[in-house]
Amino acid sequence: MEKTILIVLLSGFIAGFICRIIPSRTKFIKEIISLLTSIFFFYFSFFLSFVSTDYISEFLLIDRFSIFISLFISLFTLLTIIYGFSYFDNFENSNRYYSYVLWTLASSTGAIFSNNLILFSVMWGYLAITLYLLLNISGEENEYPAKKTMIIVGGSDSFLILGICGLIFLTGKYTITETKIFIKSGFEIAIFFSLISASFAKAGSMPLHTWIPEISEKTPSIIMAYLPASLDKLLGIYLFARILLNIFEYQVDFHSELWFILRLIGSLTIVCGVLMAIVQHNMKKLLSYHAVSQVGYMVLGISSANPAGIIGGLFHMLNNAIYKSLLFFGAGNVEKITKEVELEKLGGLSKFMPITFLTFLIGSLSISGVPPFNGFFSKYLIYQGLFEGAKSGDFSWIIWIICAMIGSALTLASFLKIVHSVFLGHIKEFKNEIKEVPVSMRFTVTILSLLCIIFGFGFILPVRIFEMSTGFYFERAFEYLIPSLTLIFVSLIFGFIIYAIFISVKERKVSTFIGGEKKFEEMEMSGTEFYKTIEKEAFFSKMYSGARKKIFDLYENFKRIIFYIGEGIRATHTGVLPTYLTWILAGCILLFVIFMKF
Amino acid sequence: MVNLPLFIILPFGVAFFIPMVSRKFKWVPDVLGNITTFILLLLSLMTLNQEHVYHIGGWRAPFGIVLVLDGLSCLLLVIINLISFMSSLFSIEYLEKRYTSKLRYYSLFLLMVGGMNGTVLSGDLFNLFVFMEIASIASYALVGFGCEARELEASFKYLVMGNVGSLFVLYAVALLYGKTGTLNMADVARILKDIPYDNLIAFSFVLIISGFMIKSALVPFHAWLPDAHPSAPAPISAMLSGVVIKALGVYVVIRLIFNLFGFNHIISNILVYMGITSMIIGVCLAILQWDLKRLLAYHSISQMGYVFCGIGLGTTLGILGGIFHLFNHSLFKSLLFLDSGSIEYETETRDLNKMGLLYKKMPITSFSTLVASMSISGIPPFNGFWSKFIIILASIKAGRPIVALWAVIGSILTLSSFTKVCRYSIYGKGEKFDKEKWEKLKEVPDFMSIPLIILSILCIFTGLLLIGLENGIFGPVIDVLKGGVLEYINKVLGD
Amino acid sequence: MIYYLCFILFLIGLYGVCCKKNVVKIILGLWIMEYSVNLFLILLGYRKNGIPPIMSKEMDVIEFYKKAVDPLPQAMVLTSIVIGLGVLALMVTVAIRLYQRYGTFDITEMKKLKG
Repeated sequence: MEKTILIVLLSGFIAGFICRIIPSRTKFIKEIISLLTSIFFFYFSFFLSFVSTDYISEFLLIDRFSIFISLFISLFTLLTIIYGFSYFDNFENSNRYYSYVLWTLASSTGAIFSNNLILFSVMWGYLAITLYLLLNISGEENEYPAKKTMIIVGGSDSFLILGICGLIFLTGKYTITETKIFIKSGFEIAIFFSLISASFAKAGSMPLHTWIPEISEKTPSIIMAYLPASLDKLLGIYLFARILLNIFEYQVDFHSELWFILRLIGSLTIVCGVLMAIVQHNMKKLLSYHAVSQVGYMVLGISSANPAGIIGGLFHMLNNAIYKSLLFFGAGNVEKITKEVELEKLGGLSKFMPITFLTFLIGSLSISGVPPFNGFFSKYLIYQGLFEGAKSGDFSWIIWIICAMIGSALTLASFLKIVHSVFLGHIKEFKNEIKEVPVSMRFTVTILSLLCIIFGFGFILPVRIFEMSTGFYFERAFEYLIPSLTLIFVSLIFGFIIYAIFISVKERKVSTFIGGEKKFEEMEMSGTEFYKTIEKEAFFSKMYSGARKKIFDLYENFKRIIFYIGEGIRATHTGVLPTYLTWILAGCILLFVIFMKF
Repeated sequence: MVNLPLFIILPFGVAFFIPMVSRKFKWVPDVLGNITTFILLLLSLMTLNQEHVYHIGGWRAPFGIVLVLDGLSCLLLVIINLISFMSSLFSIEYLEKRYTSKLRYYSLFLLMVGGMNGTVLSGDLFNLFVFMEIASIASYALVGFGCEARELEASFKYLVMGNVGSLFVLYAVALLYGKTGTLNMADVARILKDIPYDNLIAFSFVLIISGFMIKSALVPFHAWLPDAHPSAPAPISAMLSGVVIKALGVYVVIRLIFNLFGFNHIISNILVYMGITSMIIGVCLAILQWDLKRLLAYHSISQMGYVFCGIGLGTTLGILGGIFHLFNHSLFKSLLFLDSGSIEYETETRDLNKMGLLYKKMPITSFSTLVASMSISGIPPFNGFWSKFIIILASIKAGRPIVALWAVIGSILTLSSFTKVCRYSIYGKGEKFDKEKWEKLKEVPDFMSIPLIILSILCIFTGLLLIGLENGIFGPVIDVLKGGVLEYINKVLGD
Repeated sequence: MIYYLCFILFLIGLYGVCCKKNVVKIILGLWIMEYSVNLFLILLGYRKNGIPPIMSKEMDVIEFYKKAVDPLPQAMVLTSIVIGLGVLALMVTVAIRLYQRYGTFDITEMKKLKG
């Protein structure tokens, strides 16, 4: 098995290398190579899923869970590559693009299948490089966000290594399956958080999320859809699940405060992410804040520490990867045709781009948790998990449920806004001719929206697989059905009301316009205007102005501290030789004091 | 069996031969310099995993002068001669454009190489001092090679501080001679082991160690380095940062501590804490720099901190990590300095603000810069990752998780300052970016890009050296250091 | 006692290097340090009423061993004087060039490289 996996991974790396070195003109050959490679990876994962037994060795961990994740990784890569055929029409950096995508595919497959902690960290760190390189191909405007991403993701990798070293020290084992730790002291807690930080940075959970909105503006939608929206979610939450379920397996009852912190992070991520999303005017930035917000559900679900919540969180991870990449691909379609991402400047595209509109709508409904699409079922499971947490007599579940509800409501509201202002409303003037996107782009969004529907109606299939893979079977109890459904519908209605309150004025004006009356400039108000009123509320205004100054951004704060310290030390290096000699003498005297006995 | 004096005689001989002939033939310095360093590289590769004590003139130790080849000096020989070959290859084209006197350059260069080879091989204290001085004098002169105001200033500061260090060493050698009546290192170690520890020994220990710490630029002895390393021509910067601070500084400190004075927990603490201090202070200063070479020079301080941290732990894993990091650092830091040289060669600036978008014009340089940056920041699968990983693992296993935490913080800061380098030079552009100048840029000549490619390939694949730990290249080094004083005495004085 | 005097001379040189602003005085300070170390080395091998360490045929070996001065420090001093001379020459050259560039011998004025 080791040999097979090695050959598969090597084929990915070598194919990427070939794509990198052949000249940029031969785009066709690169397309063929990358398509074949990703099909090969998909076929391989598909083939593995028919192997009945799990294969766990010193290096490899091939169980249902990892096979299922790898299946989707290769599927997303395949769809992304197909989408890219038309997306990058005249793109000078295509040889870099294809090779980096293939390297990403190979190394993420390697990370998923590796059982050895060191091998895992190598693959994981290599993913940081490919992410950095992929962000950099889009041109010089993206340099700062790419740098920030590399520092956050690569820096959290260093903490991952610290945590792994701690694990190796404590257990003496090098494999994920054998390292099981019981939390006794601060050392184990430190290991716990350093491991968690890597998964949070990759998935984009709250304190380490800032790179996702930052990169969203200038990065091509295809890369946004491929990495932060789908693959990084799968990988980050995969690691999170492995940490919680495999390594720190049985400590929910002993150290409930750790789990409390995780749930708190999850619910904060939901609420803050969605609050930031709702005031954005840039379509891609809005989507990226939702990408942050949805991670909160997964964290909340998995850390709810009961089967329904865990399965729900994992299922939500999968669903989120599907509909979030669908939404980013949809945004990419719009951007490709109109060259515009500002919501104010878009409108009325549904007539010209019916397929994009339809698929985008499906994605929006999915992410808002409207039945019967897939987002609904995973959210339902998470709610059920939270309710079950109430059994233990812990009343914090009320907070989590309220947070989750606010999240759903605002998500629905903001997606109604985006659908309204991009596809509905009246038609704006565009420079280019507006038409439906080419076949390959249509193909990708269609497949993804079909997946949304399939996993909505056939939710039992992925849930079964997750149950089998994690070994958690939740009882399908109907006692929670009514309260959960009620909550979901309440939140949906709530969201619709928010949307309606803000939008009602606009609807009327649009109808008067269609009625044939003369158009007045001041009557034209886009959907985004009304959301600005949120910003003006007293509490929110402080929060938003703080967020704009980046005072909640860990990265910026650390940067300030380091620069402050650095400037201080720098001031002592005056360039005067006697000062330097004095330091040398001081160092000598210190050593004298230590080593000589007086 | 390689004849050990060849490592010293060959470069010195060629160094004196070059000025004699090359007044008439302009091509002589290039050809002779490169051939010599290449032969030295081959010879050093032939010495791998050998142990040998060479008695000059047939006099046995401790009466005669000995050259000692063991695992540690083997590794250092390979590093020195590899990097010097790369640098001399790089100098062929590089010097044409900015500097005039090639024959003086090559002669000083070979003096430096020979001095370092001698330092690494020498088995007695006074010869150690002499070779160190030869290498140092050559490097002082090479730092001021450009003869501009800044270069002379840096050279003078380096001279004064380096010379103070050398005099500390000489004084300590004299004291040790007065105490033990011998200069042979193994013999000194044998006598020191038997006589009781007193203040005189401690005094000479501190003098000699601080003298060599000045050469290896640990905080607070570091102040000459950020001035001297950027001022030299780029291949010399690569030599200084990649090799000189290791051969003259770190190697001797390790050798003296482990094989002469003996290792104990006070020394361990001193090394680890000084290592952490240099690690953090160096990187905090580096992150603020806009001069590319000065940034790299501050990183040398920081990375030497890692090396001392790893070795100071004193465990097998820690020593392995430290030594491996030393090896890796010589590869990626010299690669980075050569890159800065080729960027300077084309754009004629070292200011990050004036560079930009090099990936379109100079693909090889930007590829190697990226590889080396990721390497030094400890991103897998490059070599820097493995050594940092081992250092972190070793410090946790040695029961010092705080050291590991500092190492991780240092590594994150290193990453951020190198993403800054990549951002301003390769992928983005600085504020004072000059578009017209940029249009005219092209890739550097072949002789400059070959070393870049070789070193980047080495950076990618040297992580594999860890396979076969016991019998590989690092096994003998660990044996030498773990063996401590006794084995060294046995090996050198033996029958 | 005489060894302590050597050490004091060493410290005087160090004082000159660390505290004087003039480049020439710094060089002189270094030279004093060098000199004191050489003196110390030569004094190590010194022996009162000693004879030169050259053995002729009519001498008794034990007698010679008792009386002759230690030859090793003398060889060392010769070497270190040569090295010191090299360093001194280089330093003086650099100092002259520095004066040409900066127009001053004040070391505290030479701080183009800092931070």
